[in-house]
Amino acid sequence: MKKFLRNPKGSRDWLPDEIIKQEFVRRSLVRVFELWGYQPVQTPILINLDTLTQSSDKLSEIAFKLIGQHGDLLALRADLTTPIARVTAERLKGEKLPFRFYYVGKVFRYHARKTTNERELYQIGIEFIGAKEGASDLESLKILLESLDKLGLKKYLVSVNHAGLWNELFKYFGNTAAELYKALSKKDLILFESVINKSKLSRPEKSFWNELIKLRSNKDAIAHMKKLNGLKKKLNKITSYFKKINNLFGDRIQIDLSLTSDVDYYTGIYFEAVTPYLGRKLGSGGRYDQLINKFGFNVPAIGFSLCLEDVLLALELQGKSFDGFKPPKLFSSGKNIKKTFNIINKLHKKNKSATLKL
Amino acid sequence: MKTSGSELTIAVPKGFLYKGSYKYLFSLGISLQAENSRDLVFYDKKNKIKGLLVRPADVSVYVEHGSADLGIVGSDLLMEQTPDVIKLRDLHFGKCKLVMAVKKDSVYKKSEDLPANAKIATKFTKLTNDFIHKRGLSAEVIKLYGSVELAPLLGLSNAIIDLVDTGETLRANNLTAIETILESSAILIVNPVSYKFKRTIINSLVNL
Repeated sequence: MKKFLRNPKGSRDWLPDEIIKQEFVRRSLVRVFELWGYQPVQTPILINLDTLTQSSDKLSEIAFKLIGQHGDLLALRADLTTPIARVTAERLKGEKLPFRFYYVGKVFRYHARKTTNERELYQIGIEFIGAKEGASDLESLKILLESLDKLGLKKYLVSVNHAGLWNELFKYFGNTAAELYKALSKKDLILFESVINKSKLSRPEKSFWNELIKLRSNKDAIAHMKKLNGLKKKLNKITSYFKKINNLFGDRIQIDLSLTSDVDYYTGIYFEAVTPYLGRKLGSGGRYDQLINKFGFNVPAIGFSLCLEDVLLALELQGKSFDGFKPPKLFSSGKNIKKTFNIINKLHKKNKSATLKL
Repeated sequence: MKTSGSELTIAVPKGFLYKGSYKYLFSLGISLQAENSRDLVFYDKKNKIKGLLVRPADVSVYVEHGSADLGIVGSDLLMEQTPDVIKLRDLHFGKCKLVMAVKKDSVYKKSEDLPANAKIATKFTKLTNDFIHKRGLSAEVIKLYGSVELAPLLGLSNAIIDLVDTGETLRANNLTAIETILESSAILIVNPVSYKFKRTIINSLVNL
């Protein structure tokens, strides 16, 4: 028997009936992005490894690395925010701000995510470059919600937190807060509790932390930020900002003070979207005001990305049905093929598919 | 989620942690009943809870993928498998230790005594490799799926790394523990997405 050569682990093919579904996701999202005035950008898949190390230690760790013909260190892009930050600094410095970009592209990682073996996945998302914290953040959240609605996801949740909150907590509680953050990012609530118990925190401080992971409603979360007198003032700005988010989006966006971020370059709000149809997040985003500066252009930015494969999987698990392929009308070539082609072309002009019967 | 009529799905491990898990769930007011003795799915209809009876090593797989919301698993397996799940609570039962053991009459009194290129048999390859790395040993790991105690007796390995409860199995096989690598107990884990959508019912169920 002939042996088939297979794809490497973690990669896949897309056959026409799967592409139809992929295209649905792509078109739905692109439609939303374009209505909001976003324009497409593309960057190369092959990048200099320096671009990644410049941006994020976490990303350069999980990226595929290659050696070029002359010993230059290369990588496959592991995200799209980094290359877009790089091209913005390289080509668009001095142009009129802001830039609204969207992208659809593959990213490559040794482990794209923990639960499965994928090593290449499509990311689809936006970057809003050149606007400070404020309305642009709200625009991004709004677009995320509209995107999820446009896809037809019946149930989802967007959680949001702010890197500034953690910065203040680190300053106020020192090493204890750093340990608590680490426990939360490891999702280890047992360690979280034991760090609190072993610490020299006062009783109100302990209860501040204990409650932080239990808060449910936005009202509770906002009130929680005023509980410690020593912190209250410093968190004023973020508190009123969260209030704005709550007033605008209500329950559709959940303020989660215990949310940690996967990426190490967020400077403002960061958020993630989950749906009960899938045991992992669909996508995430946040404000990254220092990232583009690392490539030589000091400009603030915010963005988010969704994993196309995960969005598709969630829709399928939700039971969504997709349009099937509409077969073309078939014509025998007959003796006079020129005549047949003319008939076929007439249908094409009416935007109907037709082809030869062979 | 995917469950019909059930609000929560819990993965319960067979074997060593089964009894303790059953008792713990009972203490929360959950009583999982099987309709047939061979059933792998149990129900507590009053609380709308579904229980899955699975192999210990599969608990975190079900929970990580969201097929179960909650699960009970030993911390030894959690550290071996490192699943992306929330470690919610230490349940303080099912205590045991992961130890390095050698033959009773062996000259090896501590891990550093093992010869260069020693062989260590274990079910826990990640934890064993981590241990070898931490101690700066140069040893080869042999993966076994059970009856690890046999390996030194047959000369397959110089030492084993395995779980011990009372130490009875080690003694019965003429082995002795020379180092404790970690202490383990049962942990309640939860899928991160489930914890977002069902935080209130989960917290009230486990009295958080």
